[in-house]
Amino acid sequence: MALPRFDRVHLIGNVLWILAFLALVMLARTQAPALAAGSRERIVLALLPAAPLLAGVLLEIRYLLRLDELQLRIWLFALIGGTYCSMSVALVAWLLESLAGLPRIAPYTLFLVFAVTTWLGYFVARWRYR
Amino acid sequence: MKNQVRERRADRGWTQQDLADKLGVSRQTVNAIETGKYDPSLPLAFKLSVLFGERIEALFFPD
Repeated sequence: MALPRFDRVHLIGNVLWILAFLALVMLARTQAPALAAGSRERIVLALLPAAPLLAGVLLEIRYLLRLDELQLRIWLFALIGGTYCSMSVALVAWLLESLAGLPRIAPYTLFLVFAVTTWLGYFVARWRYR
Repeated sequence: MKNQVRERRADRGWTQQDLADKLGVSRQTVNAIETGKYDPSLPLAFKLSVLFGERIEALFFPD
């Protein structure tokens, strides 16, 4: 089944910003140690990966604005579910790290949690209105 | 809420996709309205009303 054009743009856009984010994180991680801690250059380098994150937010808003009222309801249900699950996991991970002394969990884990819970929420909502 | 959308659409020989195109929504939305799983917003209900040439209360009514 072919995706509608704006669905394809949404999908490709998401893949692109995630790849750009990961590439910039790799770049920042490899180049940062060569710069003085707290220097302007190092701060700029550390903030570079925020640009694709912002692009991801804009892409999502653009996508949501193009949906009809039921599709919007379904996506908002999914996104709110994914956001709350990700926030809960982040807080639990922080508690386990700071209070229980367990090792830090990679922040990338949140991507996975968000993706899985958002898609789960999407399919639940779609099923409800099928 | 019950509605007569499926009947009115069938009277005109339109598919769900035809109606969705005329309303500017997805086919899934038309299907959800027809099956009563989703109650449309007032603007969308008015669009249906205008499209079918009927008053809203003739198209939608309480269970």
